[in-house]
Amino acid sequence: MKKTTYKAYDEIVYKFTLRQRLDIYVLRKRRFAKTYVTLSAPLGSVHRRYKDESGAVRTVPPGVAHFLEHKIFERAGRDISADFSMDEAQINAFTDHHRTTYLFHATDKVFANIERLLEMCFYPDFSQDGVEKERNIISEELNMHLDDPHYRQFHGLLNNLYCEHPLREDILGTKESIDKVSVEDLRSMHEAFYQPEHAVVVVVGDVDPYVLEDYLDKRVTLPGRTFKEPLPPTLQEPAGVEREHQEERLDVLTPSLLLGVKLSPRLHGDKKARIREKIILSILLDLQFGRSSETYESMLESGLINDTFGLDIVYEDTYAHILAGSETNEPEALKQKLHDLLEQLPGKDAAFNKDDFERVKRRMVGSFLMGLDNLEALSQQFTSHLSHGVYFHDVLDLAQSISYEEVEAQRRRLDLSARSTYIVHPDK
Amino acid sequence: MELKIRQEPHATYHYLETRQFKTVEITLRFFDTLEPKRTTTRHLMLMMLRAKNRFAPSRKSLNRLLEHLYDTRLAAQSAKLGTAHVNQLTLSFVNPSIVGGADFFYRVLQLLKETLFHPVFDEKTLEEEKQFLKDYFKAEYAEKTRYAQKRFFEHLFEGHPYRLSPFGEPGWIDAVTLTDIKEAHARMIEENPVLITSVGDLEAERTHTMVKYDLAFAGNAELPDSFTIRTPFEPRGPRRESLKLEQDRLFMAFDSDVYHDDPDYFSMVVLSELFGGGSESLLFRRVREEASLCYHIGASFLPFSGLLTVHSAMKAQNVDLARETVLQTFHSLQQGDFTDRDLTLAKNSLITTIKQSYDHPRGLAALAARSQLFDAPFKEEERLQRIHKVEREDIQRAATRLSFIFTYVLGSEDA
Repeated sequence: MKKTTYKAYDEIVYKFTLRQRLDIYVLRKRRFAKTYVTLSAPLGSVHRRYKDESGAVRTVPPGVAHFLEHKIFERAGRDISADFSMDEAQINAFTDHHRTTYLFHATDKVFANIERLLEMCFYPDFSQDGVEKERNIISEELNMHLDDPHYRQFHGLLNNLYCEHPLREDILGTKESIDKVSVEDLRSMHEAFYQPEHAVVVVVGDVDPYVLEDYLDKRVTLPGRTFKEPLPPTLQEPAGVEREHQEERLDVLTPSLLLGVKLSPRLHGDKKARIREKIILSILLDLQFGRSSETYESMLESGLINDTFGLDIVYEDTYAHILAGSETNEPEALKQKLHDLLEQLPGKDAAFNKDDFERVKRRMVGSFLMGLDNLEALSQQFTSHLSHGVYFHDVLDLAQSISYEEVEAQRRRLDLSARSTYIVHPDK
Repeated sequence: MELKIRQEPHATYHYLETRQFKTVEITLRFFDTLEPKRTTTRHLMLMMLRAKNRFAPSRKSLNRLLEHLYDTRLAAQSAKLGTAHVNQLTLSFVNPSIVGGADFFYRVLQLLKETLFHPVFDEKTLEEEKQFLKDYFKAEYAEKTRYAQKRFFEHLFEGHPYRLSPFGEPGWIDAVTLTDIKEAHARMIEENPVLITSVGDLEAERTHTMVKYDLAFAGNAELPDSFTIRTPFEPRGPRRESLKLEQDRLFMAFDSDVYHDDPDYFSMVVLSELFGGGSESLLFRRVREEASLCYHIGASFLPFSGLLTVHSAMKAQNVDLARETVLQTFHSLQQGDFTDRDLTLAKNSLITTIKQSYDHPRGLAALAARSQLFDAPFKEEERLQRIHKVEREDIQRAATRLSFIFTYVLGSEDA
């Protein structure tokens, strides 16, 4: 058992490895009634290839990761969710581009529920009948997204920002690909990607990690090693964008603009340097576009944006981008304004000073500390930061160590030239 | 955790001392009646309080001040509690003992004082907030499930005060003047009953002394005690409206005479969970898992109107079958056609939700408010007992008090 203590804010992270194969992290939160548990497998929508026992590379249809997530819950023709519920746990799951996460929150029998979660994820029970029935349910889930103009704008922008990256494909697949998914596809991808060595379990709650380790050690058998090999997505992504601008008419009343900037992150090498790079970028964008910036106030006062304006930075293993968007009655003018601001950002003079920088750092401290009260968000942040090679709890120290000069240096180096915009207009 | 209540001549104070959280939250709830213009004005006024004040006279300066105070968050929210309109302000901040002690708390409290008592009400801010509110109502149309729900309730509550959004009505926005805003503010401070709740690592007596001094209200201390209009809904014919959609949205309503203060209230809560509360519910199993008709389906009980509503979405050609399956499932529920395991699953789901409700400052503040306003239990054990006590015959009795009254479909134009 490895124990890491954060005395300044009274937090402890425990780590043990079950049967020397499955990493389990316990973030002990005393006095909480709820325990929140996640198991993440490294299979996302971008993963569509594996190597079989003969060494041949096999490709599955788009949407398999998400389809598999649905069918993991099947046991002997029924949904296993009810078994969790009988033990005071509510289970759910979600699939993103890079991983599939199964989660439950429980107020009793946490150990038994963790044992059931491991069994559910590592010993699936797919059936032909179950797969056939699920096609229509997933089709309806897809239809739900297709009626959502924000989703269509977001998906459309990703398609224009990237040229080859599998990020362009819908996480759910298409109506056609959902029809093509077979039981064999699910079994094979499960065997290749759901290996305990690649999965991570995070437990957040008032749980004694030593007792948990002992319990799981006595009760859990992990599956035998597989001979199928998970393959990463094929990546030949050029630096430029597929399309610089697109407009679409949809059934909305207010126009909106979404702008994306494709970044060229360090995809290899020191992971800590990458997370540092991400924090600096987020400070920079906060200073430039955040709600306390001159830019935000002037855009709001001139009516270019309204209070829906938002900004997001995504830094993953194989891609990174910035998204900014708002509802606006002047999408063309907002587009030009954002382009101008991004052109100027790496320029000679900073639009902010050291006081602004220190204030944003104080905001980060407060946000971090209050975030420790939200078990779901904490778990998500912790899992996400593990893939960057750090504990989420180390981010605060990392952020504190960043200097104004370092932010300034990165600002001047910024390459924000790979941009794409997507405007949605009302169709009547 | 003990709920300490301090009743003062002009306000009610709740204190929940706990070291569970790194966040402290102070919530103020001001109660008034739900009327179209008054509600629209109160919502705009509340948003203007959140925008700027004498100490921080611009949105930018207020946001900078909040950031400087370690990301202190000032949330303004208009809510509807039965027949009451509630203006709610919540200040969330880091436990002072971690970042600066008494001085930090004093500064946060001064910010709250400025927000409440020294707002900057000017034409420019009013026009901005009016535009944001108009944009908000327009944006409802873009999200088709939200829009369908809005239309469903508009038809259901035609001519009824429940129809009103807590943000007011679009038609009244332009009519609101700066004078109306100032009058609404004066009424809030000087006349509205107010409930103040503090949750976190703050010692009650000391905090009370400071809060009582700094937030000196002059309103009526009597909190409202009636939230329900006991008017039955008449059955009405099905309504279908159409837009360009991939998926039809289906809403159904069942009426009852069970409200939050009825002896059958907890039976109805369990019934709602059993019928359509989650992935173990009867509707989820029969409509989604067995018939593969939809991705999601759920039911909710509305304790101020006595309604049980069902919501789902599916292909146009499956709507009739889904509707029939919902009605069949309801009739079989009335006949007691569910297993003991089904009932245990529904109760377990509610038990889990109750236990978790003590794990967040905002949830605790809401629980304390509910216990005061509705004479509902605050302690976990008492709340759990009421769920445990519900038996099969209670569910059947509650089900007989429900009758189906309305179907609304927002469907695709080409169906």
